[in-house]
Amino acid sequence: MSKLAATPHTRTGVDVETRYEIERFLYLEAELLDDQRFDEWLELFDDDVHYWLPTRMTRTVRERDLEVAGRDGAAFFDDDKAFLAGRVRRLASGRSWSEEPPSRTRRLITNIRPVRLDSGEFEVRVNFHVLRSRAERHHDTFFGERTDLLRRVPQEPGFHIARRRIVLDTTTLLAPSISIFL
Amino acid sequence: MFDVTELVQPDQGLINPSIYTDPEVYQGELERVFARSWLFLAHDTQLAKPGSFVQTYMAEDPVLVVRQRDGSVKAFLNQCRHRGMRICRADEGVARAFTCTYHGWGYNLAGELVNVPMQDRAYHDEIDKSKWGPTQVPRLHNHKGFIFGTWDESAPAFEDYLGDMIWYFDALADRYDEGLTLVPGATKWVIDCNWKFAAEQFASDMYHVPSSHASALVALIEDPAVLAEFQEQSAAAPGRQYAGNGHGSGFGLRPDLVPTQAGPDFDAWVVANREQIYRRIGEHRALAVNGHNTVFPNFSWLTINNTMRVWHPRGPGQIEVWSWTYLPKDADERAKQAVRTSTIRTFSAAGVFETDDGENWTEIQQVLRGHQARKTTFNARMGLGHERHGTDGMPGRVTDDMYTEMAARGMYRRWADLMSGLSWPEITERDKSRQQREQEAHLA
Amino acid sequence: MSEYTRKPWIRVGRIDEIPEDQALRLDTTPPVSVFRSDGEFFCVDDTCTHEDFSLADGWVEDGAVECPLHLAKFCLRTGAALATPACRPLATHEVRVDGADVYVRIERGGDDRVDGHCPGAIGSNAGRRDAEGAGHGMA
Repeated sequence: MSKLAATPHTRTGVDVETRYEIERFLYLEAELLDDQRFDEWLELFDDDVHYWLPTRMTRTVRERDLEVAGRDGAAFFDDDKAFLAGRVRRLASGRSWSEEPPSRTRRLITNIRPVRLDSGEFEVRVNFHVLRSRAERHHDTFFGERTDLLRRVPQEPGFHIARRRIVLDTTTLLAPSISIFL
Repeated sequence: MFDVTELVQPDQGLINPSIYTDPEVYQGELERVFARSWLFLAHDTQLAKPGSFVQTYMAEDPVLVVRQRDGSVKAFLNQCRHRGMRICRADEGVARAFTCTYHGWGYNLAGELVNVPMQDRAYHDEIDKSKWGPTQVPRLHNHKGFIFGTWDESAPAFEDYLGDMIWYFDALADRYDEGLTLVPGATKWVIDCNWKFAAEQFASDMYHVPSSHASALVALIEDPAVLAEFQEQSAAAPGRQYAGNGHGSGFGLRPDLVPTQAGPDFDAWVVANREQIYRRIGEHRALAVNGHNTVFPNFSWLTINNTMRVWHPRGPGQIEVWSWTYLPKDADERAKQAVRTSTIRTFSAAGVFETDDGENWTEIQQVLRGHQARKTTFNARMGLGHERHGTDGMPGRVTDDMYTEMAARGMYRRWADLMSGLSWPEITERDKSRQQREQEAHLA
Repeated sequence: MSEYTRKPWIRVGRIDEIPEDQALRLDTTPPVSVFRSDGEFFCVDDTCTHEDFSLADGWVEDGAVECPLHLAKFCLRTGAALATPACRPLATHEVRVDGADVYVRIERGGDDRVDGHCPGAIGSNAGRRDAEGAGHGMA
């Protein structure tokens, strides 16, 4: 269900050092978002990135496999690198009223589960809890799972995100918008 | 109880904002507005085969909309008549029957009670199952694939309820030979605001776009010079607004169907099918009617942005937005993907336009917690006295600019008529004499 | 029972009138339905043994039919109840495919009997016809 790679891959565990590097990378990414350093954040993504948050619905047990929308279905995000860049431009415009004044975010990235694919890439599933605090007392929380496809790159911080699939634990989003990144 | 004449004065464009907060007004709306109006239920393509169902809402009432074995559609309250439990708890799917899981009462696809467990022992075979099915939505109407329903036997026929709005609706509903289909699944989110902010904005408000959505085009257009030119052009473009029967439609007049927001892959399909579109709805209408729309009370769409939605009320201070992306059914896959992604990126809960709307509406609702704020009259007077009829051969009341609040005033007029408890024949009669007066004034 | 005293074969319809995982109901008394699962045809009594519901409207999957009302499940080959709240089996009947046509032979024998060991169906349908379990589906 969480497979991102186009072709079936053999999945193997990663050694402690690799796990550490991946964790360090994901924490850095979270920090860049919480610190609103969006230009630097954008550089963590490969040019062919697919950044995707499909919708989810309640289904009977018989149709449970249809619970999360497929590639042709409704989604909250379905971005390429160019559109992510557009969102970042917008956030920096000073006129993006759902983020101006900006929200305060705090994200907890946990249960990090990396595996190595035989392509040499890494598939990493994590759980997340993101708080978006806004204006005087508005706050939204987002719970879910992310599955990233990471590629090693020679430059710091060592990886690029090539795919990201985000699945929220809600069906109806209990927030007025997702004007932040997850 | 509330006095409607104190709440809104549609002809003067004056609004007492307690209509957005008062729980009593809200209960009145459920009874007098939503239970008496035609509400959007589902699109044909959501109900692909016998047993296909969606659970939607008519205001706060959960309703199952179900494709029957003979191809027809039925809709009934998602409520067991025994103790009121929901009889289907999935959002959509394919069913063979529905069962209340509380005590096991079973219903067929038509919503008829077909099984009561232990009927002999517990009910002594004395229950008349034909009398205890869930409440049926008594009137359904399928307009070119869009299925509407109303609880009110006395409501006008759907075509009369829409009136001239049908012409504007058909710029979408009747646009393509093969009709429309939806991207599978709805996007649903919650905004802490009154439903009328959303419905009114989609009926009547082009005015907010340059300010509220100032940043959206920054996301869409990278080159600042191109952006500036585009903004200047769209601000200068002439526009129109239609209002009637509480509905509204507003749009800027365009020189061509392309470029669309969806980009070159969809543009290519549109160009290849341009003649088809012109043949069906006329070149004039195809180029003009491309903007924001609301069918009273809570069904809205943006014609060329390929998004439609229902604003389900959830108390005076909350809505659930249910939005869908629509596509020409026979478009090629590349064109479909282009539409799908562009609509997700612009008009959905994370869309670069849509996020800013929710921000406005929640802030208004927050401010209206204040006693003084609720006593402060709102101004809906834009374009008052500049209403026109039959501009450019478009049916109904049509202004010669898109920057007006004529449709907002029309929406609150319909709202006030319904909230006053007037019967549908009385409302129809009033509308007729109002129109006559306006036309006489217009001719004089 | 000799071949001479047996009931006649009844033509149900064409094969293509019963798509995979679907069923066709016959208005016999009591009604029976012909199911198609994994390309094979089966004939069993149509009414769920738990509560009154037509199993032709049920979910057919992997040689079994599930009643959509209360999730009772039956083996189409043997008629056995596979899931509560049903515990009494369905009667099964012979099926024959002849060219493009499907035939069934419905024979019922023996006395009605009530199965007392049925915790999932307390009191319900007591005294109703019970299944005899005779006959087998044949493709």
